[in-house]
Amino acid sequence: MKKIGRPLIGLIAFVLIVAIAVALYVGTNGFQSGLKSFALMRDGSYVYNDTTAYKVYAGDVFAVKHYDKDKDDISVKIVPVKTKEDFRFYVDGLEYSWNSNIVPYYTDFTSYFGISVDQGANTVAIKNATLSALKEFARAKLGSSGEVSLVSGLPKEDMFRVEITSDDSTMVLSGWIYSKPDKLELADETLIINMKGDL
Amino acid sequence: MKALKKIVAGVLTAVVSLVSLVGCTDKQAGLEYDEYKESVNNVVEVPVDEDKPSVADFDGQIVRTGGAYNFSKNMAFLGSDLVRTTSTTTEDAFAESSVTVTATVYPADANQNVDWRVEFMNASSTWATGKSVTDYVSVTTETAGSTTATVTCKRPFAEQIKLVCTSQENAEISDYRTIDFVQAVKSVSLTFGEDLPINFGGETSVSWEVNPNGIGVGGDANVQIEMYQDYTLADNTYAWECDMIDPTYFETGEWNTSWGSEIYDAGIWYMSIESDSFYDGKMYFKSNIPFYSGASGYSERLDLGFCDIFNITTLKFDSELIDTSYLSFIFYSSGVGAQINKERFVPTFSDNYCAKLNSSMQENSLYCLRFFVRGTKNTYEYTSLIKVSEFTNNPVVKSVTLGDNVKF
Repeated sequence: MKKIGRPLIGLIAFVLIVAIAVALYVGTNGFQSGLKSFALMRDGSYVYNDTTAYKVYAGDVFAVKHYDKDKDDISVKIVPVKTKEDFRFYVDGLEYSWNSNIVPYYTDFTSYFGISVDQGANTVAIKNATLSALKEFARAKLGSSGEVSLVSGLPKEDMFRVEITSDDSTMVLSGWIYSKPDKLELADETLIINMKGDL
Repeated sequence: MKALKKIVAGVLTAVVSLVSLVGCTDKQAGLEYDEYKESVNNVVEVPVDEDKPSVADFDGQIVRTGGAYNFSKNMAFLGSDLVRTTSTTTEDAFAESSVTVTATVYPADANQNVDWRVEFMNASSTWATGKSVTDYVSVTTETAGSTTATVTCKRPFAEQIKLVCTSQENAEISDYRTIDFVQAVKSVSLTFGEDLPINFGGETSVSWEVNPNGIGVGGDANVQIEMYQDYTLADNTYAWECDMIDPTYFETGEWNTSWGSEIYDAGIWYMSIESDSFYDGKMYFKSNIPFYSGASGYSERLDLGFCDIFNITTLKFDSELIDTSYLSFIFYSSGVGAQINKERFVPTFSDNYCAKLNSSMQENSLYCLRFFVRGTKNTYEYTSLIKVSEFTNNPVVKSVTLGDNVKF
């Protein structure tokens, strides 16, 4: 029994160590970030680590779920990020470049997204999507009346970092802050007709 | 006052003449179908399914090769764009016709990623049952979720197809177009008289009667049109006309660099027509081997016969197939063409048009016969090289007189 017991204990210990390592790896996003002291929950889905290509929608509410306490102070910061393919938009008819005119000079967009933090309920709510935030930004920083339009849709790469901090830990959601789609139209404009294929 | 009247009359005459001239040079392009049908006065009716709507009543957008259009809720691919007429050996092989479609998701800062699909409007119809819609129309995007898609019509279809675009964020947010197919001509045959069938897409050997009083081959035109049975929009009447043009240039052998550049790249010869002298009208190129023609972005393989290079400046040849000793380069300028009798062709010197050719005619002369068939929306052009293979001299025996020494 002794001969069987020792290797079995060793095996169990090994499995536990591996399990802990895997948990740490997952919990630290591949050891790239520290272990978070909280998770975020949106519509029943949890976010445990920093993440990229994340879609946030106007009206989203995130619940901050601490692992070892009921609550702690929560703060939020939204940072614009350069994109590989530049994102362009008009303010009062003047074209702006996201990469050249915005990101290098304005590092905090938090106030334009209508963020509300309920410290009692441990929740973070995001009111505005990108276009509304740009309008708020244009009014505040560019002296605009808020006439903002996009040249095309939002860029394909992450354009904002949403940083939610609590209990000395920061969760970073890199991605987009979208409106919910309410209409889709196939274009009425000019089509290009092609021919291809062999006879 | 009289002088003024003369001037006005002169100007009016000049204007009328000019308009007439323009009308003659490009009759098809300038006329609505009904006017064209009236002008050529040669109409063939083809049987259609009475339950299918007529293309004449279609209020959507017919999308054409090389065109650019304002989109509408309904679009229709044109049969003649899928079914080429340059070769008779490629029956049931179809080119592909495609359109580029774009979608926009609102508001502008919503996720623009979309999904595209095609489906039969009535997948349980007799025709559609058991068939895969993507064998007929496909929709593709270069990148997943792209708002720009290419819709390609691959072959004729008989059940209306629906193009659907849906937001990836919310499947209830979508838009669609209906896609129709305008009935296509499957084949056309033209025979003059009972003994002169025209070989479209190749050469037609013709015996030319030299005796002004002789009886040659040919006669009244007999036109037969066979239609594809798969369509959603019927096109039931076709008007036709015919003309024949002289070659303006003919050469057999290797590419003449005075015509343009000749470049070899990755197994393909590219021969670019650059000479201005070839741009004064419609031209044809003939090869005895398969060849490709086309501008960048598409290619078209033609197994034999003619290539209308009016809008095409580059011919492409597969190096494994090419043997320049088998090439024939023949350029025709439609500007010098003469219309033959539309309803009758008898290749004798007694025929008005054939008499005109008298001065230049010799054995193995090649004339280009063009045959235009136009439906409400579809337009086809067939060609054949009329080769003077031999001359005959068949005097007409007008009477027989029995001699006095006949004994019974």
